[in-house]
Amino acid sequence: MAKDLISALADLKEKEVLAIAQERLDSGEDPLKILGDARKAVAIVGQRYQNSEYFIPELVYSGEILKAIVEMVKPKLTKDAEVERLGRVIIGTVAGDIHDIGKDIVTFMLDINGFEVYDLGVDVPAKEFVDKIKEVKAEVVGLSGFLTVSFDSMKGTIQSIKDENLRDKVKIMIGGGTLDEKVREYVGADAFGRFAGDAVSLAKEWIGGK
Amino acid sequence: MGKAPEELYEERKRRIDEAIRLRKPDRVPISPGESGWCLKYAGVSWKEGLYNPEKGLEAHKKTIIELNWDAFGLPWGTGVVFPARGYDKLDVQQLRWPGAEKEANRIDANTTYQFVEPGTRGKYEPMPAEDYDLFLDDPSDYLIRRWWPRIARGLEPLKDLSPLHFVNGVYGFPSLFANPSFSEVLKTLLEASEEFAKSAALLGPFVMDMVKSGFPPMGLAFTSSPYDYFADTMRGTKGCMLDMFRRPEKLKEAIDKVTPYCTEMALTGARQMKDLSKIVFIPVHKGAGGFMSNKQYEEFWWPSMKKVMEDIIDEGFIPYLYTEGIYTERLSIIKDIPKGKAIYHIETDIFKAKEILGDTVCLAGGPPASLLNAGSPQEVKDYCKKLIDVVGEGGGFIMDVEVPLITAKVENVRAMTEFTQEYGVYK
Repeated sequence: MAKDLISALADLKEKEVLAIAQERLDSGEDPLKILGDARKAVAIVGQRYQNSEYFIPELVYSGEILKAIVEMVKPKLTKDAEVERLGRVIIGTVAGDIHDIGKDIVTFMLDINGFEVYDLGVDVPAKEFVDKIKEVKAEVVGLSGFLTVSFDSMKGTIQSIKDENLRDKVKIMIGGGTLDEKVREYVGADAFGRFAGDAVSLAKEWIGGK
Repeated sequence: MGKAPEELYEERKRRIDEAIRLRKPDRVPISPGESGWCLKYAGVSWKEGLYNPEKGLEAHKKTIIELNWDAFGLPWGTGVVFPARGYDKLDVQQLRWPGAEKEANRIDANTTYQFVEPGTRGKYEPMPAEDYDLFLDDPSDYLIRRWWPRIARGLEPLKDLSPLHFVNGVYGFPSLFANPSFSEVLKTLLEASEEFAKSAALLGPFVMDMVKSGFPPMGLAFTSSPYDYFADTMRGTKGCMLDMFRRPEKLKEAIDKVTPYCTEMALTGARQMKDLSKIVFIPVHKGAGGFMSNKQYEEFWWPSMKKVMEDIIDEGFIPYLYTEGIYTERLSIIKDIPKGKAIYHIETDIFKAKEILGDTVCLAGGPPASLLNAGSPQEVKDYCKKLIDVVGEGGGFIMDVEVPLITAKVENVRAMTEFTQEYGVYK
């Protein structure tokens, strides 16, 4: 039975998934187990995305189905799911830029791969990144930007992190439509990623390496 | 002795026409997408450009004349394209821009205006999926009474109007027009339309002034892709992605419904341009690589776009498909279009595009934003050399940029321009 939920969700069969989840819930199964299977399935979706079998629509759809399962089991949850987290990542679109499609995909990918992600939203001032680093003691910061105005904004954000003597405490990655190695060098980040999966590999490399 | 502006106009126009026909012009034409960079070049702030369109237009004129580009497009970054004063009156929710009256619509003074996705908290909600039928049943009524009130707070009272198709005779007028919400909207619209009219009145004289100075317009008429009609605004990026799974037939029906509208918009604008330009600008977004699979692209995105472009071509005009993002995996799909009748802007990968599309469409592309913002003039020239050698080989190429200049370093844009004008000469 458990296998069915995982494969149905990995194959994005929404109606089937919800029917199985409802059936399992009605039979008195621990809702945390149902959620655990759903998360496993979404991790498979993430893998298929990284293998280019799936694209952003499939990621978004799986996220929506997962959300529906969470809503379904929520009333029966007695305690929060304890998910083992690999590390803490702060992410946000830098000041002066309000684009979030790419950032949201990266947040989703990091989340399903086991990272605790603090998504600060869009048009985020440097100070908010600094404050959040101090607050949650994050290991990784991801700066997102779509427009070329974000180049100088990222540079300024990283400078603020330096000014607060936090630069050696965090690894910084950047991502967004027009970024490349040249921009990474210009803004002073540790790495840039072209695809959402790159953020996962980088975070694993950095946090796993500690 | 210098050439007369009329002669230069003909020369520039021919240069671009030859490139479109996939032939070798005298040299590679250059016309970079700028999206407000002209303001930077001329030292005009974003706010000034939007709120004082005359200044914005002067900045455009100065830039194009001084850099001696081969054409000019819509003056992005000015109140002619984004009439901020009118948008303030309507309290529009789909944009945020520098200097906006309302704090919620404002964005940092040093950045460009930006679009707001539907569903963004505190802004506007997307069209609900259940509303497809209402839209399909009567698109105009849907837009006026249900959609406009969402995207412009100043038009909210429109939602209290009775359906417009109730009024098929004079006896319908009183119930429609006696509605207090209608007079409220009229006041708002009157103020907004005065502002829009002021801005719009500037475009014609600007175009004629540029033409007189020797520069042909390029792509002032425009339209959108039928899929993006919904994905850019109404259902949003995410909404359309989910519709591909949950209600694929409804999405297709809606796309089919608006396909002729997209053609009509293109032709209406293009005909207004008379013989000044045949080029129709079609900026496209949500079919880019990653945003869907090739299979989804061929099912949902491409067929309607192809139809719009073919209809534009049949009427004697030139579609200028402006793709953004990674298009590498789509190149062989979009090759299915009549030869020598269209321009495709390709951000990535323009070199691969030359291999696959070089014998079919005129390509526009150029140096990446990273080089133009963070590189040196020499690096920019080196890249342009490669572009002219490879993509410019045999003609059919317009020097542009990967993404609009916006913030690019002036010395780099100058380097790119001068290098193309010297090295880009065909022997």
